[in-house]
This record gives sequence, C-alpha cells and structure tokens, in this order.
Amino acid sequence: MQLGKLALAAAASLSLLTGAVFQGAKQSKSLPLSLFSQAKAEDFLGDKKCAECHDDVAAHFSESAHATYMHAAGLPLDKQGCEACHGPGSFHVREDNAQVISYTKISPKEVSDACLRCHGDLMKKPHWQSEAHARAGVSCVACHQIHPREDVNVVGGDRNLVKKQVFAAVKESNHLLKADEPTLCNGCHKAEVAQFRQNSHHPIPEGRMLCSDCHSIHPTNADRLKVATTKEKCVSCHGDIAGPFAFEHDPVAGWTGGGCAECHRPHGSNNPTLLRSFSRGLCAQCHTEKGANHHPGHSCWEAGCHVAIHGSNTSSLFLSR
Amino acid sequence: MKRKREFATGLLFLAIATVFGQETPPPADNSKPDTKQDEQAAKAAPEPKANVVLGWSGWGLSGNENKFRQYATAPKGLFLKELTFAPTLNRHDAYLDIQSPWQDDYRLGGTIRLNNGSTYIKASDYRNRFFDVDPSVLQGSERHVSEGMIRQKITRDFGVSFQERFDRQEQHFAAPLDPLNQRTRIWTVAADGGLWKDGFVNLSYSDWRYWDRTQAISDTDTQSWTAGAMQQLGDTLSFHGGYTQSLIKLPAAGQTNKVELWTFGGTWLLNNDTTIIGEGRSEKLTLPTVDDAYDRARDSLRGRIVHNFGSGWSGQFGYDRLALERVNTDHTFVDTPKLHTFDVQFGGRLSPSVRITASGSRMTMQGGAGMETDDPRALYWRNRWSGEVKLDASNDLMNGYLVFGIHEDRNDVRDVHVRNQNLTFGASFQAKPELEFYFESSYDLWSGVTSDPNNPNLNQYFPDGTTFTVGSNWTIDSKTYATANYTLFNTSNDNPLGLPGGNVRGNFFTGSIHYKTPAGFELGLTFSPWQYSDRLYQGMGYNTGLVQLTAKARF
Repeated sequence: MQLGKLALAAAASLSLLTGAVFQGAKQSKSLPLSLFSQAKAEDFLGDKKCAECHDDVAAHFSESAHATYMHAAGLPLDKQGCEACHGPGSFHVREDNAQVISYTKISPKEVSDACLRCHGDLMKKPHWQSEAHARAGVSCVACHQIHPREDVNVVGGDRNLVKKQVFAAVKESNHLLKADEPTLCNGCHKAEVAQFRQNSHHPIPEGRMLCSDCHSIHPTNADRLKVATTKEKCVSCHGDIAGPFAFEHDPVAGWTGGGCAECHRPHGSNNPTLLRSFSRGLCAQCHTEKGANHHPGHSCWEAGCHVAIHGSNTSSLFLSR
Repeated sequence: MKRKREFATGLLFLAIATVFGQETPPPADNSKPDTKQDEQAAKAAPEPKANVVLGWSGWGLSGNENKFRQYATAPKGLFLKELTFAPTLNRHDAYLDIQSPWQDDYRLGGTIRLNNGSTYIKASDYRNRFFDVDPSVLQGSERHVSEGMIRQKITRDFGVSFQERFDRQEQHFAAPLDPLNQRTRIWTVAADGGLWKDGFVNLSYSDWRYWDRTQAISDTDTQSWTAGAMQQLGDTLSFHGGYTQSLIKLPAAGQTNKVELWTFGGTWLLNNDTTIIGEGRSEKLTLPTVDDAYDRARDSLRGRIVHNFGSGWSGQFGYDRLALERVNTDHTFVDTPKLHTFDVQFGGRLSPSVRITASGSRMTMQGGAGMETDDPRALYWRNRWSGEVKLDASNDLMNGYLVFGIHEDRNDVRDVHVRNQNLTFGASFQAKPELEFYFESSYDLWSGVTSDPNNPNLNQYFPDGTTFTVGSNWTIDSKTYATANYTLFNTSNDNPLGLPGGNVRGNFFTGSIHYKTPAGFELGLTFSPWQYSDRLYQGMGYNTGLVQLTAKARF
C-alpha cells in the first residue's frame, strides 16, 4: 500500500515537473554559457595568444591535472586550453565590450555552469544545484584551484604567503584543491572541525582519515544512483556492527532515526569511543528506569555485561556476541 | 559465485584490452583537431617531478604509551617520510606516493591515467597501528587496507570499472572486552555513464564479505545489484530512479536475508533563483535472521525548495517524511511509526563584511512502537529540534566568526530530555602578508534531565568540555618559514563511578621551522611537547617531547 502511494506521488511529481520543462527551456542562457553559444571557430585564438599577456598563469597551468585533459587531440575548440574555461579569446581582446569569464566575478551558479560543460559526465547541472554545497552558494572554485599558484607550502613561495593548515599531520593536498581537506572544510564548518580537537575523535588530526572518507562532497551521477541498503558509511570500516543480528538493538538498527549517531558523535566527543554521554548515562538516557537501581556502581559494558550492545546472535540482552 | 567472478574478471580483461587496443581517444563530436594547439600542448606538457623527504623522529615519551598511540603510531628513528613521483608522457601521466615505508604506519599509493584519462588505474595499501588506551600491557591493534580500481572509458561518456578493497582489522582491548579479528572484502563491477543525450545509466554488482576470525560474529556475504538511470531535460530539470537488491547470506545459519530498495527523485531549476527538489525511496526488508523486532518496510519522501532573494540572501525549506513498518519482538504485530522532519535555513550578508546563516529543524514522531522491555514505556525520542546560527565577519586584515548550535532530544513519555549547546568562536589576524595569528575557543555543554525517580543523577553522566587553540604562521623571509600552535582540551565530568577517561586534560604545543638552503633543499624541525593527564588515574597520562627533523629535495 505504501509503495502504491509512493508510486502515485512519483507519477504526479514527474507529470508536474515534465510540464515545467518547456517553461524552463525558454530561459535565456547567461554567462558563461552565452559566450560559448555565440562563438564561432575563428573566435578561439589558442593558448599561445593568452600566454602573451598571462605568461605567469600559463607557466603554472601546465602543472594542473587539467592540462593533460585539455590539450587532448580531438577535443572541440571550445574545450581546449584556457578558452575552455575563460571563453573565446577574441571576445576578450576586442576593444569594445570585451568579455571574459572571470571566476572571481561570476556567481556560484555561473561557476558551476562553466565547470559542468566538461564535467557533465560526473554531475548533471540540476543534480549539482540540489546538493547542499550548491544550495549554500558554494561554488567549485571555493575549494578547487584550476591553475595552481606557486605552492604556498614550499618555503617562501613566490608570494611569501603564509601556510594555513588546521592539522599539521594531514598530508598536503593535491594541486586541484586549494588546501588539504580538513583545512578546506574548516573554512565553513568550524564547529564540526573543532570537535576533532576533543579527547575522542576519528583520526583526522593524525592524518589517518579525511573528511571525504565519510562525506560525499559532490556525489557523482553514479553515486546518486547507488542507493545504500545498510548503515553503509559506518560499516564500511566497522564491519562487525553491520548485522543483521538475531537480536538487534533498535537504535543501531536505525528505525529511531539517528542510527549510529544516536549514541556516537562522529566528529569528536569529550567521552571515550566518541560517545555522546559518559558511561552508563548513555544507556540511562533511554532506559531511565535503570539509572540508579540496576547494578549500581558499574558501567553497562565495561563491567563485562552488555558487551555486544551493537547486536548479538546469542543474547537478547546483548550479554555476549 | 564462480560465474560472477568470471564475469568480473572478463570485464577487467575487457577494460585492459581496450586500453592497449586504443590508439587515440574517442573522436571529437563537432570539430577537427587544431594542429597548432597540439604543438603548443606538447610544449606545455608538465615536466616529471619528484619529491623526497627524509626524516628522523624521536618521541621523548614517558607515561602511557598506549594513549599516545591511541589513533596512530608516529614514525620513529630514521625514516623516509615521503616520496612522490609524477611522470608524464604525452597523453599519459601517473602519480606515485609513498609515505613512511617500513614504519608502523605507512601508506603506498599510485594512480595511472592513460590516453588523456580514458583509462584510470588507482591502487593503495596502508597500515595503521594503534592501542586501546588502557595503560596495562596490551597487544597492539592493527588495521591494514589494500584497495585498487580500474576504470576504462568505452565512449567519451560511458565506462566500466572494477574495484576491490580488502580490510584486515585485528584489535585488542583491555579486559573484559574480547578481541576483534575481522576481514572485510568488497569488490564492485560497474558500468555507468551517458548512452544518450543528457541521460545517465548505472549498473553495478558488488560482493561484500565479512569474516570474523574469533568465530564470535557470523560470517556474512552480501551481494547487491543496482540499476539506475538519470535524465536531464533541458537545462533545468533532471529526474532519476533506481533499484537495488541485496541478499545478505549467513552461511553458518543457512539463512538469506533480502533487502529491496526503490528510489526516485528530481530537481527542477524553476528559474535562476528557485530550485525545487523531491526525492522518495521505498525499502522492503525480509530478515529471517532477526529473532526480535525489526523494520520490514521504510518509505520516505523528501521535498525542498531553495530560493535566492537577491542581494546575497537565500533561504530553503525542507520536509522529510519517514514511514516505517516495524515487526515487534515476538513477530505478532506490526507498528507503523512515522517521523516528520521540517527544516529551514536562511543566509545572507548583514553588511559587505558580515555574513549570517541561521538554520533550524524539528522532528516529531507520530504513532510509535510498542515496547516489550520490563518497563513498557517508550524508549525512543519522540521530538528532536536543533538550531544553529553562524556569524562571519572579515576585512582585509581580520576574520572573526561565531557559531552557536543547540540540539535537544525529548521523550515525553519518560519525561527525559537531553540538550547539547555548542559555542565556537575565533578570529585570525593578518598582521602582515607574511604573518598571521589566530585563536579559536569551543564550548561543548550538555545536560540530561529526567523526572524518573529511578534516575536522579542522569545529568552527572553528561560532561561538558572545552577546547582552545591559538597559533601563528610566519614566513620570516623568502627562505624561512615558521608555525606555532597550542591546543588545549579539558573535560568537566562529575564521573560518579570514578572511571578512567572522564576527567582529562590535554596540552599540545607544536612548533616548526623550515629553511630553504641556497642549493634548494628544505630543512625542517618540528618540536611537539605534549602532555595528557587524567585527574583520577595518573597512570593514564603521558608526556612527550616529540622531535622531528626533515630534509626535502625536489627533482
């Protein structure tokens, strides 16, 4: 019955949305897509012309991962070299109404439009716009650098810029990111990164994990279609709690809403093993009647009693695995 | 199973054969190659680059080594800290990354991209050694992961891939907890990409196996098939749908559990300022393994509207409905709880230099589930709400921020609520382009309150904590660079049972200086006097004066 209702809702939604396509298709193209749609083959001048003025940028661009792809033989002219991102060179050099796509000046939405011209095989435009980062107005270039500057992590560098790193043990980033992952994420998610400084934490400060080990920063088309059927993120490392067990513990099984996060704080905690409460208080917040009278003076699992609290095949009270 | 392996192996061979049989990348769809640009591309090809970093490290450790090694084991003695090599050859490039080989913790990794990325091969192997924090003599724990993947594009937009991951974990804990010795292996074969205009399909099969060497947990084999498709219509609309079936087999028990999942959804860019998002999923579970309560169905619907109001202000509103069918403990009846969650978020600029974001959410449970515990009152949270405000202000010299978050869970049946408040604020000051100072302070405050007469001291088990960090980054001159950081954490815990790990304090200073010699080598010195203490258990603490010297060369 539930499935029937869902199918009906889906059909209604799709009908509504399909009807809207025609309205959407009428929208005029804004920068940067408009520049490419106006351009003719002769408007693309090639990297050499760009390097005549922007020699410093051109020198570093060869270090970018993009360089290999964007100089592939056979690519369409509008997807080669500098002009693939910045638009046709002739529009930039003309004397009246000179136009170039500058990523420090266009909106986050326009940035993603430009990037998705080539990366559409990874993400569709509406798909990206539905993601949390896009909804918050975060664009691709907030985290990615396309033509790396002189590495600021090298002593001095060419600009004497200071090196900013949240956790010293984290490996330096690859050149497509502006910094290592925790440092980048800390730009907006201060409170979450601060939790990694607490006594118990996942080993990000030690450089043994990255934010993207758990979070899909920008899930690809394929990621979106891969639907999880289990507590996938946590059990990919903690396989022992995957189950199913003969005796499931409700919060671990997930129906109460929080899953593993009912008891654990994934970033960090004041309590051992990332627990959101200390010792028997963790259990007593739900099992209130066990607070004071149930084997007082002992913790619930460290005393050797409920040692299989994530689920058991032998004990409905989780007294053994 | 053998046939599936053969199928996967066949696909792998197909991918490899395609690589070597491929003379040129897929043809362009609308233009001819530009000869001039190809010549220029050859000139612009990156030069091979290698980094080698040699190091020496001493711990200067006294006290509880297990706590010092709780998450990782730092290198010791003379070691190769890093070796990276990034060769390129015409349309091909590779990256090799070796970190701390022959040390307790190491990582080896590499990628190869052939034919301008048409073929992508990636592999890594890493090990991490660590300890339970108890200061008693314990056997060390270890995690060792080996993984690899190959992806081959068949057309410009469509490719096949195979990936495998083998994860070995052997963990030892202080008594009375039993050790854990497990293996998990997952391999996935997938074909995905665009086969028609603005469309995308994904087909995949994965096999996840779990073995418990202690024989305490059931060995498990989970086989999953996934099929999905996505279609973009114009620039403004996309929708997708997918199906996954998982068979979870427990060979020892001779049981097979089945999970089926349907998903569908769409995104509509109504105009340049408004986006509407909808998603749904329906999950059916058949779990003969489970003897007590479990969900046999989970259906969810989500909707969200996002709007830009202009002048940098935006807002979004979302609703999530989760409907469950939960079979009770003796499988005699089915509960149908429903969870409704609303969330709202607004953000924008109060002035050109001050940005604010405010968000909130509320979850309520309708219906619920019968409890068959000694105390039949509901055990779950029926109401949750949370809110967060972020303020960020910056100018050319300074950046300051403040984040305040609050979260509360309530179970009115037992008159219990747990509240967490978090305040984080900090600032950075750019004294000169080469010199920066920063600090950050964070307060994590908890309370747990119930009127249940059996639980008068619940709040004593919700300790508060603070963290504080201050530091500086300084590029002294074109050859010298220094950093300093001090981090403190402290817990405030009533700890009525007097347990270890409850009343702890950590002081961590790390200072480093790097110098670039005229010959181009980079020398580094890092000094880390760290102190960790447990106010109730002296033996839990440690002191260290970690020193690390490094020398880096680039070729």
